Amino acid sequence: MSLTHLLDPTGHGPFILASYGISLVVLVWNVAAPLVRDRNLRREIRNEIRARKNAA
Amino acid sequence: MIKTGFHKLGSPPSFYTLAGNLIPWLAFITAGLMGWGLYGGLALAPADYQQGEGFRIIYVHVPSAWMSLFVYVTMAVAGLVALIWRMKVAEAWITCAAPMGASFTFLALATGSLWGKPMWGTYWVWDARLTSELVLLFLYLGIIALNAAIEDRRTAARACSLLAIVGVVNIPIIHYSVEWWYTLHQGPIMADPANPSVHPDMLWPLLLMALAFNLFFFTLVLVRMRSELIDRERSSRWVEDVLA
Repeated sequence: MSLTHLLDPTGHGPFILASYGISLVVLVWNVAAPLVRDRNLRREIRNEIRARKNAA
Repeated sequence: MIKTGFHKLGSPPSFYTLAGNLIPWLAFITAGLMGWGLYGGLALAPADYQQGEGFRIIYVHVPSAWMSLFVYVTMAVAGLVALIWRMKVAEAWITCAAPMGASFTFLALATGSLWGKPMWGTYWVWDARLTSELVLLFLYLGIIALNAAIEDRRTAARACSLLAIVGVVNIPIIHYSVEWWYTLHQGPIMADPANPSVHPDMLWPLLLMALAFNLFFFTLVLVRMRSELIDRERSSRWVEDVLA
């Protein structure tokens, strides 16, 4: 597939670009969302554990 | 041995460790397969003689559509396991797979619409395949909402399990919709795996992408499950040990 095909507004190019663009956004969200949640959760639980230890 | 393995897999600490060992390998293989599949689909596969370059949308549309069905079936199976054996890992599977299943379904609908406009002349028609796939998206959203609405996690998981099991009736409807009803959506391209209706030069990147999407799902559902398990078991000794 050539770049000319992708950029030609009268052909299928914009539809292909839009499809792969949406796919990229969805896949990146699928990767980023659990990693961010995991990082925040670990920080939160570590703080809880530290607080429990300090209280004991 | 199978029984021991089953129980071991159902134990949150064992599952957490096993998932942690698998994730880097699965991520590496997924990235390789996806790169190879995309190169094959976008650069090596020839343009279709009728659809031109627009057919290349199938390399994201078809794998995401297949995954939307596959993820739901895994959730229904996990729902059965969760209801029968009350396994926390199975409960976590439903919670963690639902957002990914919803995203694959959304992707299938969105890319299908973008393919439909140049090929059919419209973004959307209320035919059996498209409508039943939309119902699947609502089922996923229903499970996510139900899980968020019930405070007690085990009660929420049981409710979600039940909904996943009841909703699985939609899967054969989606799959066979193109055969049972007259639809604008074309028939299955892999109805006979020995004799697919796609040329091999176009087929191999599609199969690679399907495998890559599958491994992508397994990799990230394991990441989500590790978080879910430590969140649920945050006051357990094993969580304290792994986070120390």
